[in-house]
Amino acid sequence: MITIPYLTALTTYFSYGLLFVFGQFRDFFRKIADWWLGSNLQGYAPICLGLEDFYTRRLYLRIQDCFGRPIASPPDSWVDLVERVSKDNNKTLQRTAKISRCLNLGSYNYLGFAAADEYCTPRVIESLKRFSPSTCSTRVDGGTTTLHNELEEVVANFVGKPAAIVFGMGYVTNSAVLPALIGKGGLIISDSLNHNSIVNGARGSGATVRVFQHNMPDHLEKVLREQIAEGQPRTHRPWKKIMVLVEGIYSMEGELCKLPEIVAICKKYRAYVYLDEAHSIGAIGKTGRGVCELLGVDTADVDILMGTFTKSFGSCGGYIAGSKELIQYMKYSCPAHLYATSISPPAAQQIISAIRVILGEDGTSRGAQKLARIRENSNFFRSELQKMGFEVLGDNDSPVMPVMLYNPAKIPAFSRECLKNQVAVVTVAFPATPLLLARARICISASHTREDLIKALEVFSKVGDLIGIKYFPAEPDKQQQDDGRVKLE
Amino acid sequence: MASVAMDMLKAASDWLTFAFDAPFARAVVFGVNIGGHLFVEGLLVVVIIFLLSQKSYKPPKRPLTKKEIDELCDEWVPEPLIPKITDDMKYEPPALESAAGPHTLINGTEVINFASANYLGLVGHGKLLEACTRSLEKYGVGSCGPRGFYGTIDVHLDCEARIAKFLGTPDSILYSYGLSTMFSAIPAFCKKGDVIVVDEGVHWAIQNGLQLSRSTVVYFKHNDMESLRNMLEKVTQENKRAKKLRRYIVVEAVYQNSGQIAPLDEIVRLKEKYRFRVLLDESNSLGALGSTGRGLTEYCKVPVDKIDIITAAMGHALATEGGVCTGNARVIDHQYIFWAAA
Repeated sequence: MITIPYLTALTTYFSYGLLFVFGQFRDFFRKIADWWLGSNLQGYAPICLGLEDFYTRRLYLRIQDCFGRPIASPPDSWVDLVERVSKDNNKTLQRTAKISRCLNLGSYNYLGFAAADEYCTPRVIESLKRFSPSTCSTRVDGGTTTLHNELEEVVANFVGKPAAIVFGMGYVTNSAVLPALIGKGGLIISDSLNHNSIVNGARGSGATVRVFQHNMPDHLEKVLREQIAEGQPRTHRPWKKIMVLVEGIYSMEGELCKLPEIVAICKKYRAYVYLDEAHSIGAIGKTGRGVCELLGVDTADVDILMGTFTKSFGSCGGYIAGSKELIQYMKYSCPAHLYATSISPPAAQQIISAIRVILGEDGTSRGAQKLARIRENSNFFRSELQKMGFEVLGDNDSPVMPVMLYNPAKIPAFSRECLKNQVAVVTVAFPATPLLLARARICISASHTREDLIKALEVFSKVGDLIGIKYFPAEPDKQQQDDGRVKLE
Repeated sequence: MASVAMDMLKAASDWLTFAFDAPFARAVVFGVNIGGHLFVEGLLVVVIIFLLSQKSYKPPKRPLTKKEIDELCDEWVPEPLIPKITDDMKYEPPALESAAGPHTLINGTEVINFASANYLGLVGHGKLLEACTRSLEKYGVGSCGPRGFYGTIDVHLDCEARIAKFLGTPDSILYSYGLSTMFSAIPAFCKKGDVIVVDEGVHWAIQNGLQLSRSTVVYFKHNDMESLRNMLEKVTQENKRAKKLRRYIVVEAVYQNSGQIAPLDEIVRLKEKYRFRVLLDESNSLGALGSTGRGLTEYCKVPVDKIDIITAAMGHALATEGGVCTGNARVIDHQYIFWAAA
């Protein structure tokens, strides 16, 4: 749980209040200027009314240079960032020709497949020449190649389910599959901190949506009991089916889901479980099979497993894995399968090769090494940050670590200071997180070496002292007992 | 009968007079002359206060006991997750063994391919493959992050500029999935309460986008300009006072479901008369229509800045994956702000 210090909460509210007041002043002057200059809309209604994009125009645009930074190299552990300048006070940004090489702590490159890989890339180029970059048709109309069928088999074997279906984009997988599985008369119970794609899919399905408190199986049980006893709203008919939506690793918290308890509760009350493993597949677990392997849950107990290939496999797309009948039904009814162009064949080959490397089927032990390295790296980095006094969220073994910032001014300060010291980080604020709880999110990769991490820790320590985000007291620094242990301030 | 009533009335009035004339009824308290009526009024006030202080009657609430909830939970049986699999559902599409060009291999035999939307024959083109191979070796396959968090590669920005230059618009935005282009673009511009007039025969992505935007949707007959004019007239009459009402017409350049071409010059004439904004989906026409392949605007000789928003999925003539959204200057400013924060 995040407990915000009292003084910090006050100062954060004050900062946002000040920004809001200034924004209103500027809007007021803009209205006067518009009226003076005369509008050139010629009778059309304005696209955006006053308050709809207030947050974007007055708050987000001030710190726009911290987001959307273009890169000129693959998003590997070190990345070439293209510098941008702004001539009109951050309203628009132009690219320059200057490039700075930075340590990349922001990309989802958990197993290091982002850059060209010695096993994957030759095979990808071969399949590019054989199948060309796109099939130009939907899966049912001649867009299915032997590569797609092979990919679905490989993914199903890897995840531990009988069959799988693959889509071209991870976000759309959630938004298009949920409406096909559950409709009006059904109940969806979703975790309060679920990702936007799940929320969109749940809304689009037409079922009633209820929320349970983040990662609390007791509250889930309470909500389930209440809802089953009451039935559908207003008519009180019994629900047609109930589905519980959870994620493997929550991307803004870095926490693992309490899967064994949740699965036990769902079995007791006969609800279906939908697990979104976007961040956890390939990155955690002894052989990379995700949160089910790590927490010892049998995959047959989870009804629908969903995941994306963007994070650990360095490609694009999403999958759904389940029983053979489920997948057959999906192929018949899911609109993303029936109307969208199929996944690009070279991307499919990259996923197949990446899975082969992870399982060790390419003849080397690179996969096992990568998995061990990402685990070591995450645990080392997290413990060192906590020793320095930062407030770090998340469980052990999870490669995602949010570091709390809270104040809105610290967001661009942290981002820009780290960039000056050649470290690229990602900062997130409202609306992705609650208003008070802005944070910087660090993603560790298997391609980071120990020296990279130590450099990052030094930079963080310096910047943290400058900005004042070491909310906890630093642990007293031990004497140099172990060899090779760097003395950190 | 009447005399009994009269007697009772006389007795009551005697009592009242007595009450009014009683000694305490004539007291003088604090210089105020208390008449007998004040005594009666005081009594009434006490009665009113007593009634107001009573709790109103509510039927007693009886929440379900734990045992009852347990029974209900035990009794409840969910529907199966998916309906029964019929024979239609078992259809397996043929698996291609080579690129989806004009000729392709299925099960070892060469067949002519009439199923792929490969309009310009760019599947398997040498230059494309060379460029893709070069960028694969340089950048890898995936971008490992959304556009806001180090997923913007310089080639994305170059591509956006190139597409905008080709079409003649100020700027454009790339999407990574063709289907999601339309169903993200519509909710970005159309919010609850807006009016959208749309053709009946549009494809699924547009229908989904309309549903997500929660605006008022009015359909007109497929590719029928007379019906469109009637609908626009009706909508304008009904909403004469709403100046802040945003109004849109959504059409496809070449309809995916029927293959007809929309008469763009007629639509632009109607739009300017009734002050609607036009959203044109050029998925099947970009690269296929027009003397230089610039789409329906070139084919119908309409200047491109008259169309407010143009979207296209690139999985057709351009033989690649993804989508693009572009438009005239006002629209692009807004979309950039919205999209950047999304």
